[in-house]
Amino acid sequence: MLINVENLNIDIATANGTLAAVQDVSFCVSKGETLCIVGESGCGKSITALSLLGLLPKVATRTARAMTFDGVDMQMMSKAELRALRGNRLSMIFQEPMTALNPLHTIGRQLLDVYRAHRKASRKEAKERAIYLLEQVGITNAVQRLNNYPHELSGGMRQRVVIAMALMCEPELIVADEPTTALDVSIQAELLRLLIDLQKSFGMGMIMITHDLGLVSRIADRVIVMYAGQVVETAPAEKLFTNPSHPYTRALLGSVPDPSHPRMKPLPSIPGTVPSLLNRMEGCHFLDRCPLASDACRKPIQLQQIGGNHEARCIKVGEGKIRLKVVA
Amino acid sequence: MLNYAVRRIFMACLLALFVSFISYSLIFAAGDPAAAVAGEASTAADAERIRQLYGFDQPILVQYLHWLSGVLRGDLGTSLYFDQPVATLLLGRFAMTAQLGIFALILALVIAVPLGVAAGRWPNSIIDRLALLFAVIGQAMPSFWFALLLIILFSVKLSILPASGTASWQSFIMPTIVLGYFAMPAIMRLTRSGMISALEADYIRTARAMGLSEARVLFDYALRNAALPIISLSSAQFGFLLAGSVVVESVFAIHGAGSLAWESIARGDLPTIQALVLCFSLFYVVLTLLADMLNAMLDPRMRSK
Amino acid sequence: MTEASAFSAESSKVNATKSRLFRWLRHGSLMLGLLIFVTVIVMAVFAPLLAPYDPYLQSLPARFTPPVWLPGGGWEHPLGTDQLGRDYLSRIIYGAQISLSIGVGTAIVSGIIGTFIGVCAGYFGGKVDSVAMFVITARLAMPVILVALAVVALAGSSLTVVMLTLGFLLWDRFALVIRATTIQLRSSEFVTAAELQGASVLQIIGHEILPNLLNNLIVVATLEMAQAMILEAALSFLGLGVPAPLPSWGLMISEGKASILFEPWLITIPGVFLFALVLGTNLLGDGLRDVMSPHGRN
Repeated sequence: MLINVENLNIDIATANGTLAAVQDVSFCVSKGETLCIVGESGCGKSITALSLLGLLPKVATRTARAMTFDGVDMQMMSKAELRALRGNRLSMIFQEPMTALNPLHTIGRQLLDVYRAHRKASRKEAKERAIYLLEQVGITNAVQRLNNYPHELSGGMRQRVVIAMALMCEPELIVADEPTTALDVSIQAELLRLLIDLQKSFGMGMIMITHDLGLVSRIADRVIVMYAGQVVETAPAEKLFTNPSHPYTRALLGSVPDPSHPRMKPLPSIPGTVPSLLNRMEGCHFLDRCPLASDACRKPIQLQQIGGNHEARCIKVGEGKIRLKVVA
Repeated sequence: MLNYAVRRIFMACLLALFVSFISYSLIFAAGDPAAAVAGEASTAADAERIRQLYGFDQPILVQYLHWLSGVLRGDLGTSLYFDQPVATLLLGRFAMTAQLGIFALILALVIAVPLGVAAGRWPNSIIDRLALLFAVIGQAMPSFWFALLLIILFSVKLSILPASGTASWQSFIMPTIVLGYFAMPAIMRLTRSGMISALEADYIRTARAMGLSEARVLFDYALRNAALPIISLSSAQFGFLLAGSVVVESVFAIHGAGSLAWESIARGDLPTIQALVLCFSLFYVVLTLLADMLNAMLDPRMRSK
Repeated sequence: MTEASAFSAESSKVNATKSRLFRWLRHGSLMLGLLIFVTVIVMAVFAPLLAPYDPYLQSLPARFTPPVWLPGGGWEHPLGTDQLGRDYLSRIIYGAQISLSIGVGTAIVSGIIGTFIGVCAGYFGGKVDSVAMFVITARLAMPVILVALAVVALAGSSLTVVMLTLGFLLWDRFALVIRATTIQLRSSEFVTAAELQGASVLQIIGHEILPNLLNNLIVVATLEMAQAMILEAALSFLGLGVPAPLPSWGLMISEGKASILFEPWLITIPGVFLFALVLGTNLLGDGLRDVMSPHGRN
């Protein structure tokens, strides 16, 4: 097992009180495996990703019962040990390619900086590695591109550079936080395929943060569905899609645009809004928006085993085939 | 880039012309130059004679153009007091002031930039509060009073530094501190806010996620981005600092352009005053021009334009 | 609106006022600045009542009396006397009038000029803005102290001349801040709405823009006052500002300069007051910016 996280909690101090952004999230990823964390924006998935690298903002505090990377307790690591891990064995791809690169350095310089931060390598070796990876991520004229500044490249190109940067030191685990959301739809598919191919050929573990269920169905081995800071369902990918058990998961699946959807008819969406996490809620977080909600849902609800490796945080699993309300 | 440079230089020239005209006419509009030249003991007839002799009776634009054509030929007029060409007079004086100004700017940068970096790296920490206190005090400190306080402490009470003159390198210590402190608050604050916003940038998060060392993140990635506005500000501050030398040079009896300005004003030496105002303005215009050029060269986004 | 929601709106308004007051009170440096500033205003306004002596009354036998905390000093002259035997405390108290009137006068003159330029630049944009920016840059290029010295020297030094000269030289910050704010306001919805209703340019500027500039104007005016007070002192120190025998703090420092060897307190005392006033005014301005900014309001 590459990374193992048990009962991760993240609190954020705000002017209006403490916000429990992530509550008791657990997961693990092995080599070559892909875990997808799915949820709406603000559900805590991005901050979970940042916490893995120890990059939380100062106002956030992280606690976990266990958090190990390759068997080593990450909570006991010193800053220097963590830094030696980041970008080296554990790497990350961010959402915004337009701003993720330093505007004042050439991309070659930035790629080399990463390599030389972790390897005792000559400039020449680092440069060769950079050229190799730029070619791997589908950039032509890699040698000349090294001298380009970020602003001289398109968004898609920049994200390729960001991916190459994350792969410079052959990481064992890569965390990708919505790596294609900011890009044109036409480029999205191409870049994702590239990312998945690279993952397979390098044998990396991957944690993909996304809200795109179509993407999840194509790449995930395992899926975690998060809602308002909590895991509401976790399952191997095929089980999640054949047997979605939590009402929120079903609602999410119902709101994926279907190409056969009749034109000019309103797209399905989930009624209501995500609750504020400022006050710790006792019962089900999805209560207010759930068609199956009852008084029993106001009590604390644990993740429950449904089948092999399949858990959902709902006491009504299996009850009534709900028909999703379509809201204009 | 070339296009930008040409346009920027053209603007600077236009600016210099405009500023020189405004300064020229402002000083003329302020009083009767003939009376000022003639001195307090003169009669109305004396003033009238001088008015005609110097051409003060002509429209101001004519006088300005006349003066300007001289300036462009390198003739800044003749000092009424020293009876020698203003240009020669100014050369030596400006060398002194520029020297003092450079010392002061270096001191300001050496103290204010690291302080601003530390304050921006650890906002609301003790060091940030101390840096802010240092800046707030600097902004409220009248430089002439600060100069006198230093003299009282180091020359009168402790007698370890000379109170005036430029005889030895020790004489430059207090003037440099006073002028430097004058420029520090603005530079410190800008460095601090620049570092704070740079450290919040996505590319810093990327650099950290890639495991770059804290020193590299702080100085190579963040400070370099924060440095661009610091360059602009420093050049402007250098201009202000040169102009501020009027006060400091008069306190420390340094024979630079600043004290010359003060003396010339007290003596009503109009050609010298005009030339000095022109020179100080030109300094500012040229300095900001250079800073913009430097910025354009350091910022690849500007460079490729 | 139902009764209940009217009530809750009312109470939330009260809460908002309360929390704003609380934020003001909690802002330590703002309170310190306010305290200093108000103290100096009281000194200036009630100078005839507070000052123990006539600030111009000379008494040569009593010259160079040290302040009370130094040997030889006494409560008769708590801050001592100057080279002409004038009571230093009384001169300091009356000096507050000069600093404050210079500060307020300059802020008004420069505020009018700067607001005019800033609003024009921000509202009309394009060529007007380019010209305005050019004028602002030109103003920044002019050496303030030098031009002020020359103008005051030629026009003859008096309180009014210093005030007007500084007012005509210190409008740059007003212009820049007002311009930036006007550009923001210009694109706001309520200005667009007024335009659509057919309001004239003057109506829009008068009814929509200017009232919303008020907060910024107050902040910049405060900071500019500090700037003007420090410059007046510098001009007076150089002997080309407020004329003697007026008790300008800058002039007092200048007069004390000759006694630097034996009576350094003639320099330190007015300097401390000047420093404190400028510090207080700056803290007030910075603090007002903090509590008035929409960012802090949330």
